[in-house]
Amino acid sequence: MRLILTRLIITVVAVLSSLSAMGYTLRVTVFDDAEDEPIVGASARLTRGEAKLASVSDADGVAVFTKVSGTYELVVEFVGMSGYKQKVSISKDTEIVVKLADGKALDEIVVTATESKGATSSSKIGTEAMRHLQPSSISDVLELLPGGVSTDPKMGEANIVHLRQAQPVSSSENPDYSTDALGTSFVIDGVPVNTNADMQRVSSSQSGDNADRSTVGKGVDMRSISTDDIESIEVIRGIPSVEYGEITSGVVNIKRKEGVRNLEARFKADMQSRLFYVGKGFKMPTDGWTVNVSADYLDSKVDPRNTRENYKRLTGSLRSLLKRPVGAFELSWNSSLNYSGTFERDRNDPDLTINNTVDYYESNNNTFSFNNTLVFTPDKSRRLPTFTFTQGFSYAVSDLHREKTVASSRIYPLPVSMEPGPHYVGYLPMLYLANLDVEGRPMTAFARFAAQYRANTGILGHRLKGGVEWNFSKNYGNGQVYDIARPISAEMTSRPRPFKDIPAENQLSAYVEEMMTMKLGEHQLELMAGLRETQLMNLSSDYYLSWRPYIDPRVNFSWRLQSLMVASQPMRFEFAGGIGQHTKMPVAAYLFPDPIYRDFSQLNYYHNEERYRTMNVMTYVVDPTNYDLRAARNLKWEARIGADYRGNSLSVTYFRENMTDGFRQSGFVERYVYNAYDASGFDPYAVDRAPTIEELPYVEEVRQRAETQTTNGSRTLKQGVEYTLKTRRFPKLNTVITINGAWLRTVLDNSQALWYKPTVVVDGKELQYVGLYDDTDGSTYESFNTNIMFDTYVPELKLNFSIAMQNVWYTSSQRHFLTGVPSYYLDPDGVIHKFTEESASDPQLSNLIRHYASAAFDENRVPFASNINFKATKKLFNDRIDVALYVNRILSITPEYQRYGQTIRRHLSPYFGMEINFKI
Amino acid sequence: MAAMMLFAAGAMADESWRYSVVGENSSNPAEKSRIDFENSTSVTAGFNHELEKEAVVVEEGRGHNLADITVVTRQHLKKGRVWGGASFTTGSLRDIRFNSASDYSNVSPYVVADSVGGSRSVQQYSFLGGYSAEAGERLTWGAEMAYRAGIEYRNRDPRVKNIVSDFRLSAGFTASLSDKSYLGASAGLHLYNQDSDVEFYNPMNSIHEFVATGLGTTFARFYGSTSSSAYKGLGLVSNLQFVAGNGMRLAAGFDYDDMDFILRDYNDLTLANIDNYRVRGEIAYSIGNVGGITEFYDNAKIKPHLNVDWNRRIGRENIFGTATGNSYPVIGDRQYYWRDLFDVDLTVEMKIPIDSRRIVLVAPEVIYAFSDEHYRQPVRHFKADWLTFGTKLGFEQITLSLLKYGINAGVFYNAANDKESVFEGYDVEKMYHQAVLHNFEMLSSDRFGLSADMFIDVPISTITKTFDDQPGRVFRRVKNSLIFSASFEHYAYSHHGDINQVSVRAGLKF
Amino acid sequence: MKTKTIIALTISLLASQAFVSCVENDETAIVNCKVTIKNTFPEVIPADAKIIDGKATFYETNSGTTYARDLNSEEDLMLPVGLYNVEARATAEYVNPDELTVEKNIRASASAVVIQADTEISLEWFITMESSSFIFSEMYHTGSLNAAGTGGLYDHFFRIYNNTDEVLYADGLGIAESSFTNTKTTTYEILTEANDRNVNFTAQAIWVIPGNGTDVPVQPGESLLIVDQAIDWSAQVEGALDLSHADFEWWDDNPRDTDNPEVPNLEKWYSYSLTIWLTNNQCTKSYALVRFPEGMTSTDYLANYRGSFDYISAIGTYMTNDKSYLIPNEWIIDGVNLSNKEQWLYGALSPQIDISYASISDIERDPNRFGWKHVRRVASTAPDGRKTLLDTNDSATDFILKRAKE
Repeated sequence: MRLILTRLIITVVAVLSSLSAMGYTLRVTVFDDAEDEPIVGASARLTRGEAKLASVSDADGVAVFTKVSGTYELVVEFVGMSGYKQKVSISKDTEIVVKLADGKALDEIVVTATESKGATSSSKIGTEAMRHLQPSSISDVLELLPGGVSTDPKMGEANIVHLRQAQPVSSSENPDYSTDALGTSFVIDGVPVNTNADMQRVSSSQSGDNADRSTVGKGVDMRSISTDDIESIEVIRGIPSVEYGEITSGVVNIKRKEGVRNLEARFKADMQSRLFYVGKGFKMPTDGWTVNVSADYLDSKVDPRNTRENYKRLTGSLRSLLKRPVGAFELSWNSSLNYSGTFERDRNDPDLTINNTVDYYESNNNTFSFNNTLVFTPDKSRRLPTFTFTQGFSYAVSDLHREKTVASSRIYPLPVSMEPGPHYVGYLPMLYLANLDVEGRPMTAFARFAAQYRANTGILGHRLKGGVEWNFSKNYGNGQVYDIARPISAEMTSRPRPFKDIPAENQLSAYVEEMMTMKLGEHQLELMAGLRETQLMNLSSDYYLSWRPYIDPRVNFSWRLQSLMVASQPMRFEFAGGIGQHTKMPVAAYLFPDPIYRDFSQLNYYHNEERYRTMNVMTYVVDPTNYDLRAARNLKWEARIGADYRGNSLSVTYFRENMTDGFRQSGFVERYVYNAYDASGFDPYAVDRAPTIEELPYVEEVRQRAETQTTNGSRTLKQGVEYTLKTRRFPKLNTVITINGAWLRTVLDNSQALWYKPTVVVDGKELQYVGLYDDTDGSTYESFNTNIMFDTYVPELKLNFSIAMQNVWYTSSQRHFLTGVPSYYLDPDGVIHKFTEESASDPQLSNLIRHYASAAFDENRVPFASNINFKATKKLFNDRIDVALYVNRILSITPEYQRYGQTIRRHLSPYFGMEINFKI
Repeated sequence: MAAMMLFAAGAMADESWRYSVVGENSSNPAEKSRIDFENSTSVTAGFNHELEKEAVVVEEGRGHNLADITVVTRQHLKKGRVWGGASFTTGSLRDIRFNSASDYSNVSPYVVADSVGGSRSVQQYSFLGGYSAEAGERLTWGAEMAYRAGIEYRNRDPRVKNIVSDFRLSAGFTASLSDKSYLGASAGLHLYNQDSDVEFYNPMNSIHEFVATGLGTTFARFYGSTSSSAYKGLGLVSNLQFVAGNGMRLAAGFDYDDMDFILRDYNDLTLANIDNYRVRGEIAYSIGNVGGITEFYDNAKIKPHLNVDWNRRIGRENIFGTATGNSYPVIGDRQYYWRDLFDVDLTVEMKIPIDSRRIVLVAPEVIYAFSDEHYRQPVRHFKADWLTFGTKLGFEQITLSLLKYGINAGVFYNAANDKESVFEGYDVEKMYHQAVLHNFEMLSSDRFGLSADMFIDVPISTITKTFDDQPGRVFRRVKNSLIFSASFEHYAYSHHGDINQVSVRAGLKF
Repeated sequence: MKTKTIIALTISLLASQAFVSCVENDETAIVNCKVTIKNTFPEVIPADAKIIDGKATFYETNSGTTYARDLNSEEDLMLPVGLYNVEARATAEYVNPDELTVEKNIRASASAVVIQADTEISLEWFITMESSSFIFSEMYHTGSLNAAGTGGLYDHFFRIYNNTDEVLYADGLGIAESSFTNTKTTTYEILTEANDRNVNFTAQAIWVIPGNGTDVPVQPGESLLIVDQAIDWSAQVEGALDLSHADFEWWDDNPRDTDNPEVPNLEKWYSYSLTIWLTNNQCTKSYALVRFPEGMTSTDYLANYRGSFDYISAIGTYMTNDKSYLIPNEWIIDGVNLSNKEQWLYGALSPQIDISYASISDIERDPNRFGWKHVRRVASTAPDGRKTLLDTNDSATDFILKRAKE
């Protein structure tokens, strides 16, 4: 919650009224000072002695008292907001406007996430909470969500978001279940971050050290988003409004700082990285115009010993906010020019480059974006809608360069050719210097036109929202550029493919939403129902998804009961819930995958005489595009109970999500036919040349392999209970206790049958049978955790310190039982048979039965472990300088446990850092 | 201060920089309510350089270059007093061999080691916070927490990376017996954790690690395949104080530490365990009072004080049976190693005020100390004791403009007498054996020491106060001042080179 | 950290745990326990045979100390608490069925014996018989240095030697590589009995010399050179070997392997890897020479001798390895365990086939191991120059290291 001083404005407007002399009407309009919106449901009371009059503000925020005169004490309250108390004297019809600020006492600091009171469950995190957390990037902020646990920053790999997922899953990056991360949308100042065109990866077969740095198909890499320029983050874990598209799990809505602010600078050092930030908000000469400029630089080493693996991030932003009346509207034009660069460079480490070998890796990524948001708000009296036009454009120059001395350990034939058919191929030299470049030029564009209309009919308040959105993404880079005869590693046989051959992705969506509020006495109902329609354009017609509309209905409701008096203090309950469908289109890399190259050696004739040597290879180029690929859809519903009593708030949410068509690399069977030439009868000395395939006898060989393509084969079922309890600040100890946590259960398995061919050589030949297994090869994960945070504020010393005890009661993972017996199998001629009893005893077919240790399906349960984290911030020089330090796992309790007769011992070491913030 | 004394006794290298902020923790936090002090906060930057031509202890390297930023504060609150500090230290440690762990004095003799070693970079964060208050007229109580976290690493083979976490908590009380005498007691907890890991990046690496178990012995079974180890220590600290009205102070302290040495590569098995006992005693008489001229020493005119420090460390190795999977059952243990360190130190401080602004100090000192280290099988035994004579001369002045400065100089002579060494199974090729002998030679050789230090406190702004009961008198007090201090130490070992240590500190006090 | 009660001010040096009837030497605080030996003889030696001049060495693995003991001495056999590897030699004197007193030299070995209290160690003696068939005479698995000197090439080979005095036929002879490695780094616990090394040898790759009985004759004192890639490596990398004249090469039907038409290929009965079979250049596996029973084809072998086993891995998880086959110990005519001194745990072969191991280096992954091969010692040279190589089924004494070039 932002730290804002209370602004107390009373404008008394006298309205002469000729009503009956008995009394006058008093209209009290209640406004939320921060959001500049009327507050619905605020309670207003007029008291004089024991005379008490009560009223509640309607959709326009107006509470009416009739037949009042004389002096009263007016009290206006809304839970979670600071109260307002004022003596008023009524001698005629009067109207009072009351602005309520955030419910924080003057020097109140909130260092945790607060559950928002809206219809859908979301957590709001303000600057004070982020300042206390001392994050290096967005991924550190997720610790504050219910179910979140503090983890050390992992700067050596892409940080992928996992909302509402049981812990053991989020730690293992299984590419088959990354749709969940892909379906979490990051929105910065209204413009969603589009990663569909990111393809910056080295070819998979040479994964080695940088596979985990690529984010293709995994969504946004949170390392690249810095937190210092952010005013507030709202993480919507529940059913987001239809305004947000391209999602399956949730939205991270980021609002950056705007308006005038003094120069802020930050220096942070922790065990892995150094971070510098500086930012300032200016007031421009012409009024109504403010400009914000900021820059931040992060340099981190994954392991201080490894001078090679480092990650550098440089971001800069220039944002202008212009407010100008235009005709009957007030225009607020927010325009921003942003730069974000990430650099990874591996200098030559003397121990790795012995005997003057070279091993050099460098990856630079420079992203420029230019966004504009124009909001036309009508002045209060006119019944006109508010119009918003948002535009986003981003272009990135990404270059990866790799140089490596390759000394191969064998004589490797190099069967690489770009076209199908038989080819004569050469051999790899024993020592060469290999170069590899990957050039990516992803470009994205975004435009949205939306309108919002607010109206009241009787006790019903309406807020109608509608909008049309257009999303474009295309990569214009050359992709991987290298000499295929001198690959970066001797084993690599993949071929380059320019990114610019991959067509653009165009997506059109529209949404309409109605938010209706109803007031029955102190009860207050809110219903939000919306429809979102989206489809991909410009795909060729043989794609199922071409112009295929997807409709996402989403409904959220909340009911705040009237307050019950408990020990003469108001206690208010709230029931909320929602159900909604969510859709995520596949990224370009799934719709237009790289072709697969398969080579089969037809003639392998490595004669002792160099001039008699020859090798002939049949190359197949297979197009693994799945034209039947559909969008991933996730049906989510949740129910929530909230309660507020004397400043303490509790919220418990049950949710259940089921996505049956997540993206997965599943097998499809491909048959290859080639000739095996027999050169035993050929005498090279007689003809003094190497044999050619035309003159040799041959036997036709058939090979079947399970190749992989992107399908909708992954199912992700997520359910759980999230709870958050926040107490008010206890007076004497000046401490707020926040208890939050979650019981989460995640089931991941394949929703379609899987082809699998065992990699085993029997009788001198590769086994040629492929099995179809339809038992669900998946796992169930569970985790249950509770974080108890004591944050104490000592005003006298201007010191704020927090002790957080993060208890993980248990985490468990269990693999679903598999018989391992296929239901059908494909014989070498490509004919499908049922897998029967006697096929189980056939020497060749028995290899299709996959054996699992009996205990492989036991539940692997990791018992209780607890960490204690300590953080402290101290303000010096009357709040101009802020010194902060944190130690994660200053103490940790990790009891050892038994598993299969072995004692498993666990150990954790602390992680610590310090920082200084200046406000000049 | 205790670590300094043992260093003076030559038993181990100067590791006092590790405890720069944390080390300040008082033996009984409750006593802070009994000394009067002015609110003061100082922000200083320091640089500390030490170079040993031959390492005093091979496993602790040949010196260091360290820079630090330190903030220390003492404030009176409405009720009670609060004191604290934070410091960030970074720098490099020079040429550490046969030890890939940190804090060798805490964790010896059990370390993962290799013969190459080398210099390391170090970063350390430490902070400390304490609070003390009166409870009624006769009682005061106090509590103090200190935390030190450090990382040491090398980016050349052998690539060491150690993370140390040292948490201390202590609380105590004092009860006045008469108006000037009181009795005090305090107890404390000490949690120590270290994770140590070694990696090799060179594909053709020929260095490899072994498990050292003291005095040149190794643990054969895990020879070679160990690279990551850990230490887990739990310690108890207890102190008693008695201050009599006539300026006599009696203090005694007893610490007990239990430290496990764990091998990560073998499913965290506890290879060995250290039991560390320590008894400290102190008797001091403060006679007369020089009235606040000196900044560097306390106000006693003549102050004889006697310090006794005795430390016994026992090392026990486990014996393991057949491994089931990766867990090794313990089938027995054997107490192979123990070491005694003892020293008694008598000093007489005499301060002779020349006038109300200048004072001279003379402090003769005599130390007797011995070290006795044993390993059972193969039999290894090293014993040496020595006598140290020395004196320190000092001069301090407060000028009219409230500028304070002070200079001290000291000279020591250290005569080692009878020494005894048994080394069963000595192998001249083994560099590890040569290192053990070198440590003993340094321990038992005569040495001559010179030390000098100075400080200047330059006031920037002063406050003038007048008291109505003393009309006409104007009291001026320093509000903010620039402080600068430097120290130099030189130890010359007979035919073993010399040790030079220079440290400089400058900053702002307000 | 042991949950130990914190003792107050008692400072005591002694009192390690008390043991059942072990006596503690108060000077060195070492606890010695009584050890009794139970002998079991092979069938051919009667139970009442007399052991004369029996010598045994007890190697305590924790402290690395070796205790030599005489098995015939009267007083008790006392050993300190610890984990022991035992090796014993003796001569057994007994009366054979036709009333002659016969002497036979016998040997025994026991590994991972825990002595924590008074213990009885059972020694299974066996007769060290002279081998009379094909044996491994040279094994080169480290490879020469590659062109940049940063690793090893795969110019690996086996040399199979006819150690008898008559012609032997190598048709159908199999070379098998062990699934288990012989070193500490893979300390997992095998749960299935069939894979007990005293019953079967668990193999992950089996290659067989082609021929139908008499196609591959090997004269006495001659040998077969079997290589990975039959190539003149020295033409490609200076200092490497010229294997272009090898007798056989193992070729994987894979586009990344080369096939030299002038060198016949081995039959690939089974291989755990789909790509190329490489012999591990850290030299930590065991290799066996297998004589399959008459008329056994690969299909009936593969149908009946599947060897998948369950085990608990180093991090305590239940695993299954279903990529291995079983070879009964009776079919193995020669076997060699390879390891380095530092990491040696115990061999994948039964002690009767190889009681110890041929060591390539002191330390693990020693960079100077490249270019060295294991060569069997010469036991004796016949007048016509034919050499008989030493084969006592004890690779530590049978093999020495030589430069690969010699």
